[in-house]
Amino acid sequence: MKISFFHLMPYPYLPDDFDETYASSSLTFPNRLFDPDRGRSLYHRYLDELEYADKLGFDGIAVNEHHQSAYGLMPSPNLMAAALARRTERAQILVIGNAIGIRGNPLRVAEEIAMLDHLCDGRLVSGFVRGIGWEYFGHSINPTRSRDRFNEAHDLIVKAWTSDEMFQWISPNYEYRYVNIWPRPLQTPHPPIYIPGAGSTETMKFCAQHRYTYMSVYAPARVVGMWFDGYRKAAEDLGYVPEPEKLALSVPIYVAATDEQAHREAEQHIMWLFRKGLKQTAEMVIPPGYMSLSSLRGMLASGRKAFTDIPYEDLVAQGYVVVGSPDTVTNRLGELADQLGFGQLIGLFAIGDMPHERVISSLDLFVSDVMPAIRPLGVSPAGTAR
Amino acid sequence: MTTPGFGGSDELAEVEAMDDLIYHYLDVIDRLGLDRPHVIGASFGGWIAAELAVAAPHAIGSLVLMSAAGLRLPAHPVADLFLMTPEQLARTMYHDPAKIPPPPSGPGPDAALAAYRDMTALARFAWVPFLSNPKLERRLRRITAPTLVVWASPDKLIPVAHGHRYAELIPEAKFTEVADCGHAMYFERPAEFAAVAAGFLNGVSR
Repeated sequence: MKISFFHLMPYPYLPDDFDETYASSSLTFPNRLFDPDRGRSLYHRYLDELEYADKLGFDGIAVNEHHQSAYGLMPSPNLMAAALARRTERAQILVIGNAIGIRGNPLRVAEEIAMLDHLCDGRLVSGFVRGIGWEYFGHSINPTRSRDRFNEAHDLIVKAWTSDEMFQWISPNYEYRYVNIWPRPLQTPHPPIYIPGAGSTETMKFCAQHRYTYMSVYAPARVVGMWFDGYRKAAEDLGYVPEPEKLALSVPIYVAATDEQAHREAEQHIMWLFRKGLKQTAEMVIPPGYMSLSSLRGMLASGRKAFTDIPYEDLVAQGYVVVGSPDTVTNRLGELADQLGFGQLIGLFAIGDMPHERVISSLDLFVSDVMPAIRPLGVSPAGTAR
Repeated sequence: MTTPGFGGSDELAEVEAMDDLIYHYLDVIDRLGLDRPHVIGASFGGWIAAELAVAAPHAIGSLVLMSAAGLRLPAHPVADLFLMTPEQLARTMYHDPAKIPPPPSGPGPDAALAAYRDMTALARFAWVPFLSNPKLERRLRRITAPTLVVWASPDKLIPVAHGHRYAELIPEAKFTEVADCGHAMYFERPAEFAAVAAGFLNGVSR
């Protein structure tokens, strides 16, 4: 099992009347409520936590991209990766990912990732995402073109990294007459590519086609199982059997000495994440044309509740989160690995408004008492997983 | 007849922006053999109608624009219908809440999917620039057809300033308001709208 530490960098200081007054912590949540002094402290605290995870022996440390949101303070994940590159030594740096669907200039992403790959001595993993629905409002990008923009930007970036010749790029959404990036990436042919997916059949097929790592986002284990099966089925249709490490479960994790203590300490922070951080309207998340009608039909049929409507007990029971003593967490992750067949675990240990001390104590317990037991899981028979 | 991608009409990959839609409708007018037809357009349709009359002034017999989109007036922004919940959208479209039709019922997700498909069709043309063509304003002087601009009052989606601007820039356009009526004019006050439009059309000499 390859194990990574994923930070969302939330802004935890929401006003007391947040629940009654604001439709969401994103897009229209007023930025006058951002306190610059607290913001500065948060960035340093969060980067410290990522650097600490590197020292603890995590295989990867992960950052992502969100815009105009208290849910995550990383409009530019590449800046965070740059800040980490020279202060960490062992862990891969997972940028999961650049929101190439909303970038005006995807060639810039190819250039920045190539630079980062050198700065971290080839430890970079390059994730690509379309950008969440509300970001199409925030950055005025037409969501009906989201899928095409993503696909074209991806193809352009990979070709820019790998082509030995200068080339011209012309596609419906982009035109470049001289593609000839300096530097090229350090890794050959290019940094590994991860794609987070949330049930789009198009995304599963895309990942299987390119043999990229497919990563889950918040969902019950039953639903993640359907997504991973979708990836495996798409791979099978292409005549390829994916190694377990091509499937990554991303899940919030909290460990304390006993189950009772773990739930007592984690519940409020998990509820912050699901009730406040992930508070969003359907219109924000799924703007017109962002999803295909068939994917939307599938989502409606799955009968999933809004994040804000799920009670804590259900979040735990259904596998949205993993909370408990070291034994409980070890057993639960083992069950999930058996059930879902993933070979990578991307843990969210800094959950919602959780204070630094709790994050560190949970991380320490996880590393000493859980990590050794789950390491041997999710490795393909050929032993190709790291 | 519905615009490609809306209602029961197929989406056409080659119709992806307003200029494509104008050529599409000019083709439709030719194919149907219409001689200088009366063109009536409401909301997004009003924008199409205005663009048609700009692109081919002599192909249009008369023009009625009802609470038309199409202009970009930064001081009078159009409300963001894409961000509204269905309930917010209904309250924005209608003046009298009692006139709001009940939400479509029926088993399964079909009604929700149909609404999403319509919004997707609209967003293709109208996400950015938002419900407008920044060049339309300076081109309205090309219109030669007798024109009536009709606005709902109060229009909570497209402010009446857009109506005044259309009437000011289209040569010899007439302007009228339908009182106590929301943006969804021909659903909320169909009789009043019909009377206003018929009165105008009866007065148009061909």
